[in-house]
Amino acid sequence: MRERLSDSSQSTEEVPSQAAWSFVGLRRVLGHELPNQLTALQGLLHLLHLEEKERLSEAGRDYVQRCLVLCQRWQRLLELLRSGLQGLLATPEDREDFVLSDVLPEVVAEVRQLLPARPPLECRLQLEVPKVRALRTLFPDLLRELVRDLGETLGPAGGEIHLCSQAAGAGVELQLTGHAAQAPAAAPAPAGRPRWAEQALLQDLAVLCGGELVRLSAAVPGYRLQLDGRTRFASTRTPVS
Amino acid sequence: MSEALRLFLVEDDDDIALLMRKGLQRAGHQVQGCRTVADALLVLGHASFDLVVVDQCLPDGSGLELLQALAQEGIPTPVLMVTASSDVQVATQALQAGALDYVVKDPSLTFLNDLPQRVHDAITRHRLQQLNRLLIAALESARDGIGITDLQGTFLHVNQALEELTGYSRAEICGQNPRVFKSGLHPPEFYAGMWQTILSRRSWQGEVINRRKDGALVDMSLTISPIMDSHGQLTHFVAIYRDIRERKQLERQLLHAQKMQSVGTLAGGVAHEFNNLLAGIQGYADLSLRDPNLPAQVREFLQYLLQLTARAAHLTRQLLAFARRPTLSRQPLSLEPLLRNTAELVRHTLQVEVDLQLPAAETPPLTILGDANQLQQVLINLALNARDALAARLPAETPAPNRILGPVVFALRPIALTRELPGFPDKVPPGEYALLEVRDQGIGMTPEVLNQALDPFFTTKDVGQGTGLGLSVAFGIVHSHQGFLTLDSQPQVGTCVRLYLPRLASHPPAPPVTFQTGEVLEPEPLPRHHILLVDDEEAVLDVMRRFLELAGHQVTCATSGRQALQLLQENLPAELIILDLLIPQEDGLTTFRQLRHLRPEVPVLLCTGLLQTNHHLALQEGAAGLLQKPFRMNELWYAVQQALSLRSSGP
Repeated sequence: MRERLSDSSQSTEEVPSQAAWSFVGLRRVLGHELPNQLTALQGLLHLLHLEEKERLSEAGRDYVQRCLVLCQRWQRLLELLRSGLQGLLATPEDREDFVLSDVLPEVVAEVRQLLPARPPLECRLQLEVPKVRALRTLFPDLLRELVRDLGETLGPAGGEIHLCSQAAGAGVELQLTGHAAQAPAAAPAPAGRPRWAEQALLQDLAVLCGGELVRLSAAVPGYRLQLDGRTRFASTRTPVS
Repeated sequence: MSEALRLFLVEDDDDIALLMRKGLQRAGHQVQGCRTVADALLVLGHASFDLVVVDQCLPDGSGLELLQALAQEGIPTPVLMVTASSDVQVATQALQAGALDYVVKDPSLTFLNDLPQRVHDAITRHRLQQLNRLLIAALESARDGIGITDLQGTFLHVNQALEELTGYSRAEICGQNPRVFKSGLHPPEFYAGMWQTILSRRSWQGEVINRRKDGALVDMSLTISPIMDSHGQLTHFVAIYRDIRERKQLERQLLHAQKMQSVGTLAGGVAHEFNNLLAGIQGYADLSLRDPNLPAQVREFLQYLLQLTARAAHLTRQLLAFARRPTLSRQPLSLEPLLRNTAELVRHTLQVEVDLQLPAAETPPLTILGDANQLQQVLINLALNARDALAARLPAETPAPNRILGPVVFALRPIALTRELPGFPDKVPPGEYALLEVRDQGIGMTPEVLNQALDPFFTTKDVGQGTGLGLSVAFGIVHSHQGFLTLDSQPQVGTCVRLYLPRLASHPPAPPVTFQTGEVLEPEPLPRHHILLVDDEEAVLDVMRRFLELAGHQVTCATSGRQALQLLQENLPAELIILDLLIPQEDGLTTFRQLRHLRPEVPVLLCTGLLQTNHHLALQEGAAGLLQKPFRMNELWYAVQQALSLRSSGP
């Protein structure tokens, strides 16, 4: 029997560091293992929902429907977490200037597909500052999630998402607001309860992109994103107070 | 003359000496003297002077001999030779012997007029030479690499440190431009900015990555300063290169640590949400399975769905393990029952023969501070690897039913290490350990495979046969228990994985380990109780409410601690509170204390998707129990039953 690493001449560099090991492991679990389980779970639920619907009781159909909604949320959290990890693995050199209008149409089209109700969704650009400095690989993810988040608040009738920007100090401030197609009744419709985990992950993504995210008031669903291009890796939030 | 010097005159002609002394004194200098070489050596050996003025012809020797004697004695006083002859040979010898200059005594004695100026010049030259030597010595002894260039950047002089830092010799660098060090990692604009700065007579400072002669990249801090002459004209640049590899390494480590902290924050918070969602899905699946008229195929689907959620919960735990968050509680744990239980599980589920080797009966219980579920996962992973290694040794044509695999040896024994052992990635330090071994006589590993065996996702198995996470997860778990792992293997002989877990002294053995049950059992009939459920996740609330109602309880739901407190203040007749410890923007422990303060007689059952330190405190302060999400509904029923029995048996 040969004792592993008994040769003291073996360089420690040959052994993956614990940190690298953890990152690779996380990426694997987030990028492969958990999505696989989720895909299988969703597939099974869709089968039950579509093929076995008639053989389920009314309560059973309701349970399946509820499970599907939970899976959708799970999927979104997984995507956000994956994006966060991607941001963490980025280097300061990955930050670059790019034209926002190059990114946005693709993001909007993608979001339109993602929203379950497929509401009519228009994105209006009011860009005064042509370039932003951010993590090029992560920024579309953040924007997609913000647009998606606002798209969900608009309800089935859809509406418009306005995006405007202005110079703010050395950086850029982006503001996204959702405007429902149907005018609200006497009082504005109550916004859905913001999901804590999604909100926290959006904050993290913004930090990793090189900015800060502020949720606007409940009356006007929207976000203000301040991008200053600074490199940050450590999220300032704590998961639980 | 601006500066008064201390001079020593060696002259045997008293008249000339007097004249020279007077002339020099008039110039403001202090003059002492003697007539012979011997006297001069005696005086100069004990007193210091700025300059010695020596006549070449002396009664007991020559000025040249005095000069040589001073050098031999290590007396550094500079010497100006004065001679009656204009002998070029003597002058040359004097200069070679270290004299600063020589003065010819002309017959008309005009040299006396020039002497003060010649003394001044000699001293000035001497001081410049000394300064020059000092500067060169300083340059050479500097730890930073220093190079002096002309205005085109061509190196004129470099020091030894720059040779060492770049790997190039002085001869190779001088005459070259600094681009010889270029790594190619900086864009042209970087260098353009640097040149623009220094040509505008400002210093440039920054960090560069340069390439050594051997091709290695070196992080350097670089400062380039312009050098101007007395007229303010730019003449040279001086570049100072500092090796910052160590600092950069520390920065990278810090960055890694920050990243890991962020990963922990990201993954930890979300894992709690994952567990909430899984709890909801499991609960709805369990509820669906209660339908007695469910067709067999649908039942099969739902059971498969439960398996998938269990696997997802397992992966979520791995996620937390990777993010180095404490996922499960550490408590005093007796290893023998754990090993017995796992061996039984492996025997039945993996269909391998397990040879269990336990410590002798009289050995005190081997207790560690650990997590039973995590350690069981390690043993199962290792057993799976052992099974595959055994199967790979069987002839391929052996029919599957005839495949008798084994044995896989599970061994446990105490061990006291008196010296270090090689381990992965750290050596196993001396100390008291519980040693868990998993051995097989399977196919074994080649040294190449062995060297990669603990790398995450390295696998020798076919696609779909394994993720490669087994050994690396085992390593991660053992490491998180402050334990160590060694791995021995030899092709066609077998493999032995040893886990060294630090022994816990003087702790009571842990309660028996509970393992997951299969089917959801019906709740035992209980008297109806009013239960207050506090959880921010609606699906979890909904599922728990439905199950508790099935068990006959009356349930009130609250989505926050604040709401729960308000309900109690409004006299809600709750007999049990089930509290999620991780409610956003609330401190679960504070909520727990407030609830206890308000209704000390009502037991509080805790549940959470992410165990943190506060659950220990809450349990110490009287919480009725802890449920970890995702949990099966029979676990909920059981925990509720236990908590309510505590209430009835309590004061």
